[in-house]
Amino acid sequence: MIELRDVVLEFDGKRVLDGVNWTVNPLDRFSIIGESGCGKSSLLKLILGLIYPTSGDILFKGVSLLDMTKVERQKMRMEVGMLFQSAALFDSMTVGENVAFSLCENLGRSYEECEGRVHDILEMVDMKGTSEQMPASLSGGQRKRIGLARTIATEPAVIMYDEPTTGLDPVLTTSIENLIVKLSKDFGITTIVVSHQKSTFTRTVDNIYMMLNGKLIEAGAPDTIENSSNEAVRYFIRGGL
Amino acid sequence: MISGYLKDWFSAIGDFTLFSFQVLQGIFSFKFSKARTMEQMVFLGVHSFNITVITAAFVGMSFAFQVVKEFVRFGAGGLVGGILAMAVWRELGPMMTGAVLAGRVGAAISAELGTMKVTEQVDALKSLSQDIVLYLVCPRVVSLTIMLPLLIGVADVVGYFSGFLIAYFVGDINPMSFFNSTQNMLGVMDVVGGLIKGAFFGFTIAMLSAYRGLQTRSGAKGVGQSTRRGVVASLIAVFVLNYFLSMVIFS
Repeated sequence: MIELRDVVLEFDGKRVLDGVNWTVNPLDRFSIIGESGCGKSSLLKLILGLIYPTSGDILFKGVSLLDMTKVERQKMRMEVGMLFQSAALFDSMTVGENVAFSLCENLGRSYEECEGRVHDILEMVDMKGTSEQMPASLSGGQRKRIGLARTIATEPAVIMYDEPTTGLDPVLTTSIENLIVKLSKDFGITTIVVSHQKSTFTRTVDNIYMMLNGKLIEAGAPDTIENSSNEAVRYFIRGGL
Repeated sequence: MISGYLKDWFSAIGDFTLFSFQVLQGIFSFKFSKARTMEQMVFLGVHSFNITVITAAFVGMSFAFQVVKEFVRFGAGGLVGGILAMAVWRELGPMMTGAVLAGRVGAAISAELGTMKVTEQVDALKSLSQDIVLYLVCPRVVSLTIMLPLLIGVADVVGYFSGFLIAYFVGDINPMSFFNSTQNMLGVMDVVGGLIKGAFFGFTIAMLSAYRGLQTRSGAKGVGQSTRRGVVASLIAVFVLNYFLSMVIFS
């Protein structure tokens, strides 16, 4: 479904990704872990075509992102949703308008036509009755939920989560993790989670990829990764202990 | 160091040229939202009404105060109306309104888009299949290109009549003589030329400010920097454009 071929990414001469090869198949559920600045979030932005690789190629359903027209790229983005680290809600719009955004703008519907769907989605993420609120009045956990509601509004086949539980208390963290699992299982959504939180990357996915110095150095089930023979992986998983 | 600076400079010019091309393509495709353009016309234009009127009134009065004193001293009080009208319609109205809006609106556009950039809202828009140029830039550019000439029209009228009040009350100029000299000296092209300048100013301010806003990097400091750069570039552009447009239109 998504394939990265020898992807190299450099910012201001600094190599962030160093020849990454990687394939994502439908219904995969996995996490990407690694120390801060190792290129995890950049990897997600590359897949969405928000940034471009210095060299290498990224394919979505066999078509190179680099060869796609603007319209083809926009269609691809309808199938690949992303929950941003900061949730990135549009702060000039109400919660309801945020959730309805993609339905209104991409499917040409009015907000009134989408209201029923908006209420259903808000209920799904336990945020019923908040559609008239402004994002500024929401807590961090609520913002993440609304961000997720906005992402799932158009029923994407893939959802990428960038640090979905960072900065949340343990209860909220668990509720967001449950939501990720529920969405991926109930709706058959391919799930990619970038996270530092051990509970998040062990509870929500089937496989974990470890990144170090811009390369994917280890892959496996959470149990396998925790007991990896690679010292760098064990060091990271055990929080430097 | 100099070569690095030149490289950055040429790179920025190349980027801005490409950006301008994309914006023009977006505008002439007519695919941008008319509703958002109307919203921006209210926000960028209607909400600038008060500051435009206040600025125009005081600029008109200051100019009239100086002109009246000197012209009356040399026995040319009868020309004050015409001189004031030409100055206001040709130069003062367009330039002062352009400068005021470069500050007020230019800062608003750069800061808003810059904040959206650093809070990942721009990336979120792209991830939701939106074309940033069509969604964020074209409505602002079109609305300011339309609204700035209208505001200049308002500024011209307010500046002229404020000047008249000073001429009448301070310089004791006869109203009939004031309006007659205006009628004799002010041509249609003086009025239209000022409004044409406004369209160019509006387009340029919105383009430069939007470009700077979308170039924002690294947090609150970056937003401050891009806002400052947007305003400075807009102000310089207004003054430079004003000179060349005056040369072309009024020669």
